[in-house]
Amino acid sequence: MNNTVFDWSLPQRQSPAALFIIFLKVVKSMIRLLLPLLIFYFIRGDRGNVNTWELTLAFLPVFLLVRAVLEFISFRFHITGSELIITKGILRKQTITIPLEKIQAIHIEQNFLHIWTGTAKIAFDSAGTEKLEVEIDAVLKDKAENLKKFILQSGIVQTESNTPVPENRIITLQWSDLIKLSLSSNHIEAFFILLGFLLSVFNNLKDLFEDQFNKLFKETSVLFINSTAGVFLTALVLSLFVSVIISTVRTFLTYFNFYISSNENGFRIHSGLINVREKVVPFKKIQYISWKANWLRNKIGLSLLQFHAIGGNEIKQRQQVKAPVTRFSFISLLTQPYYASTDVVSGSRHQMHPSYAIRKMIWPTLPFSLLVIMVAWSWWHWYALFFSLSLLYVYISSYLTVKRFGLFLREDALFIQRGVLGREEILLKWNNIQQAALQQSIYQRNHRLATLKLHTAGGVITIPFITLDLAQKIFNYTLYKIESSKQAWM
Amino acid sequence: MEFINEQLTVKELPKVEDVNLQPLQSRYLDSLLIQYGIIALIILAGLGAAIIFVPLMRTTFWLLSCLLIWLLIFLPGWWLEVRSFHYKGYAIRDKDVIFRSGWIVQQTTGCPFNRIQHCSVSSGPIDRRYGLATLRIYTASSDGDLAIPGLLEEDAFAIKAFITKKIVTDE
Repeated sequence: MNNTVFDWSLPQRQSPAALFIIFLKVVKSMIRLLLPLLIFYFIRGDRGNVNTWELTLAFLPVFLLVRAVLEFISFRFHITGSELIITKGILRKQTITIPLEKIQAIHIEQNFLHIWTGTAKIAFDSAGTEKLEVEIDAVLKDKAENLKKFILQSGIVQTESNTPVPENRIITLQWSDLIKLSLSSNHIEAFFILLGFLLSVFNNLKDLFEDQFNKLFKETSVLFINSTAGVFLTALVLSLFVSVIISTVRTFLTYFNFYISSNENGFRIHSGLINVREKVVPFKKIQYISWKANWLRNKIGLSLLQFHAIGGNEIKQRQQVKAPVTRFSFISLLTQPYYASTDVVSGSRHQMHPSYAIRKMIWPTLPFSLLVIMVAWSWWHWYALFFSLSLLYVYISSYLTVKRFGLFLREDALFIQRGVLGREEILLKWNNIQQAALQQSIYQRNHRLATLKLHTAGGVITIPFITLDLAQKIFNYTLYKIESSKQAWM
Repeated sequence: MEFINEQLTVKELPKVEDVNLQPLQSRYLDSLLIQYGIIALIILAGLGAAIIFVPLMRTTFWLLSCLLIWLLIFLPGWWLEVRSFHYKGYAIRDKDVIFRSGWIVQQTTGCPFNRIQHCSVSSGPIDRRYGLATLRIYTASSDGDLAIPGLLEEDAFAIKAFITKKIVTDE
């Protein structure tokens, strides 16, 4: 790295190589957008004369190039005092200000284009920037290193120590636990995976041996229609058996050699038979914890505990950390570093308003069912009325939701119990809330009810259909707790 | 320095429902309706082109259906935009930002300064013509950043500077 000194207080442009990288980025996004149209263009037969399609396709690269140039010209960045300022946008001008202390990490990345052009991409990782993609596409490698060094030397960016600390294993799964997990897992899901696999095989075979396959399919269909109830029953038992086998294999693949170890900084979760996964959950990154069980698991005391941790990528890729809990005592073991008290369900239990069930049935289920019945009527006539059973289903499930819902408010945390047939419990500390929103539909306004949404860095927790008075109290208390707390939320 | 540590009850807490919200700039409604009108016209033009180029659609039935669907989507939408505009409002308090929006489903959002990661000011071409801008406040929330539209451009930048200063000094 050379020692060129850059004046970061002056607005800087990206390297001219960025123009090419931006162009490729724009092309990529445009292809993704226009893929159906392009496929349609290439598979259609008649391509005799130059027409609108060809003209559009010919102008597209010009348009994309102009867009890339304008994006390049409009993009500038500089540092004033303790803030990184980025201005960009062609029609919609945008000025982004990031206090340097909010930057968690600075990544310098190079793909082959960057290596070829001697440039690098700089990505700024801050807790709130995931959706904004604060990154500089290409600056000279030296300049990128220099910028990183400049920001790090300002001493404002928080850095984490990598010194290993001793840890002890707190939870392991026995063979019996794995079998219990396998037998109680969601076999319906496994059944649909099996069905999906069989359908794809069916389609592939159909494409390969179309004539023979149609003949065979017709013969088996006749046989299938003429078969007795016994055959259906056998097929059902067989499907269930195969589904259980699939669930067992999936469980063993996921949770074989599962253990959780803990040290003073966080948990380390290890699992997997073929693909061994190891996840580190620092205590300070846990935003809230939930554990849930389906009906069967609830009966045999099994739950799946989930750490809702901060980390954009994990949230984006739906890879939040889940841990099977085979004994009730494990829950307090895993929740204690987050919230020490085990006394979460004492005191008054706040419930949802009973009108939730009937409201849910009227809106949106009723109009949706009517629409489906109207569409289905032309094929199935009176049988289409079977869709009206969805009203009953929604009413019963919503009624059970209301019945089983419980909200417990503690000084430092809130605890929610919910579920229809199964059970889910949520533990959230007030301090981990990022922002709160109070919603009211017209019906809720007329009946002094409200729905509360508590946004955290690990997900949103919704408390529906509570009284307006309670919702306002929780809303005000949330803001008070966040604003008065000196405790770090991560 | 005197140490103060008063005990508070829930009843004594500052109430969001008592806050006087500041309405958005009235010219924002004009900008909003123009943007809405442009989208409506583009879709109408698209429907018109479809009627001209697709012979199957050149019947009174299709013509009336398209017009009816267009009216059914855009007239209530237009009316809702106007209704919700009058309900929208914001307040900058000492420790947080409050923003109210919506009409069918009304929502009040509270965003404390000590949870804000950064903020940005943006403005589209029509907003710029009216001297307006949108202030966007980013927290670490996995969903739902706060956007306050219809601010005077200078106000948006002033609030952004105030919030940035607050989040740095509050740390």
